[in-house]
Amino acid sequence: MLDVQGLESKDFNSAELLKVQAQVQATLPMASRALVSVESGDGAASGVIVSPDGLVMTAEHVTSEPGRKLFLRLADGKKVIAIALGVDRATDAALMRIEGARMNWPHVEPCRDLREARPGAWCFALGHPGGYDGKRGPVLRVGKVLKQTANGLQTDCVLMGGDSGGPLFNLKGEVIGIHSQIWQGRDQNVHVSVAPFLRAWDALAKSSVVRFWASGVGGWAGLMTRKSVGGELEVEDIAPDSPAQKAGIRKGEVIIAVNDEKVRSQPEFSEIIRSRPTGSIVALQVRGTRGERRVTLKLGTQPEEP
Amino acid sequence: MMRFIHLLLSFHFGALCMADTKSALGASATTLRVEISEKVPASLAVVFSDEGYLLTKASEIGPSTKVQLVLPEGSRVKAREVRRDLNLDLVLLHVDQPHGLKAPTWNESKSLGLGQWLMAPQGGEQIMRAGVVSARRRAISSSGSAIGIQTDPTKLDHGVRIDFVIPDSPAAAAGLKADDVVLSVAGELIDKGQGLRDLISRKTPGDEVEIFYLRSGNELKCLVRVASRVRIEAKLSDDDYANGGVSLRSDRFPEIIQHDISLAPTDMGGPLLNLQGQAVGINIARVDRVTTFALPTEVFLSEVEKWIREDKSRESSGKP
Repeated sequence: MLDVQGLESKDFNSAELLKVQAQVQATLPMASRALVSVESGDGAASGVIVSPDGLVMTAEHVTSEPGRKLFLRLADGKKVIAIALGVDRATDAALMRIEGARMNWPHVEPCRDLREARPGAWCFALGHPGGYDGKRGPVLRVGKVLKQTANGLQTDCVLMGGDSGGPLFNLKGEVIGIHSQIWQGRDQNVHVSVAPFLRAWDALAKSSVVRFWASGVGGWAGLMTRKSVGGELEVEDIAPDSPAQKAGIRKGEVIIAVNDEKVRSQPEFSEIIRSRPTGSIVALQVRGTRGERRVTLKLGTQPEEP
Repeated sequence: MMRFIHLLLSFHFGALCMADTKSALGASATTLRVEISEKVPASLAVVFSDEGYLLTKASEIGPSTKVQLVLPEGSRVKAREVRRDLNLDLVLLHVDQPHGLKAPTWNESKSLGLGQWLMAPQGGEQIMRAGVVSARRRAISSSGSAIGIQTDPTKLDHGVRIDFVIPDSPAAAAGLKADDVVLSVAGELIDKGQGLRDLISRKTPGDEVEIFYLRSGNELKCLVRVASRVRIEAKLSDDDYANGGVSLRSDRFPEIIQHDISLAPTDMGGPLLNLQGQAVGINIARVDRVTTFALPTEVFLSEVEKWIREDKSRESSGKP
């Protein structure tokens, strides 16, 4: 979906639109064949096959745990079984593998150079919103990248439930992101970019649970969070000598807001922290056993992992 | 708004090509806003032919509702309902004076492929939005009908007690509340929840049913618009941010084009255009956050032409 009002008119003409249309239509058949629908028991989701031996990229909130058995439906409606591999709790990235010895799965390539996925770049989303529908087939959305962060992309390709884990493509038909979450606005569609996948590819393929990002730029609080039963952002663990520990945050406490902005999910929290440079001060609204309080902490630098 | 005008200029559209805001509104005389009363928008209407015939979505306008059209310069004009077709969910309207209305060029839609650009007008401001054909062309079967109430299975002497009214449902809009006891629906007495559900489900979305009910010992009545069941179920989960809501009726269509243009339910009845500005269909249902349905021209074109021929012969025989 494309909000015509939001486009810069000087860059926008029917010749460009027709060029985009031609590129989307040229890559669509292969992209659609690589798309899968995922039935996990918690509802329907999507994924995309990215290797001839059946590796599938999807979202962490789709597979949840390494080793889980999931049912996939291929483009032709055939059902196959996949096993969840590694997950990245911080960014919502996950891999799974289709069972069996087949070595010629229809697949697409993940993009290895994300520099082109800048704001303003055209892209398209595929998925099974609302679940698999054989008569309808895969659902396409064409739009533009609005924002690129260390681990995420925001686009105006409108997503909804069932799209989670589905692929976002550049016009070459390479995967540049995986659908992760939406907010209310039509342009608030958030995808995990391929960056965290590529950084942790081997670990994910070995069914590891990745919690910290590899070292790099951006702030670090030293907090591991998880979604509590009540859907809140709960502190699962605190790294020793971390800014979070120095600020007196304890395991089991709930993070409500950062700098007075409500946070609701792990990727959102990670993104807020990660997008700030080392040394910046953030104020967290935290709820513990003795009620709510406000703590400030000075973001540090993520230590190198051994 | 200005940016939008520039945009259209860069498209070179013919009819839609425009120089300033005034003529932008002039160009929008292919599409008018339909109001059920002053400033309460119901839908859009697309001019079908230059003799004052327009089409709009039937289920957004109750059968007992007198509608008015908003002309480009802002004045309101009453429209005569020529024909209501429940199969296509269309109403054919007629205005006596031509009012400078201009029909778009109607073109075939069979050649539209997945990923092809489309445009559609939105809202009273007549913003043009663009999107693509987003899924396969197909028929949409019925999901049944509902009004958005859950009933208490406890047997009463008369009627059925409402347990829960789904927020923003037709039942809520009509003022029904939990603990109201439904006595009759569309003239039929109700004694079981199942009977109530079956009766509602036989109605076509968009139909109005009269409901008599008891509240604190007083017998009251209300008119409730029936909706597609799938819409009521979507409201129950209500986590998909449809942005402006979904249409009362979003199913039982003989054939649809699915596209990803985010429109509001009140934008239905407007034309679906290709990049050349030719009309290839009529937007007929806002379904969810990612889905809008349009009726392809092939489905209604010859049918509507027939309705107009019948109307003209009726009118001329009626006036000696």
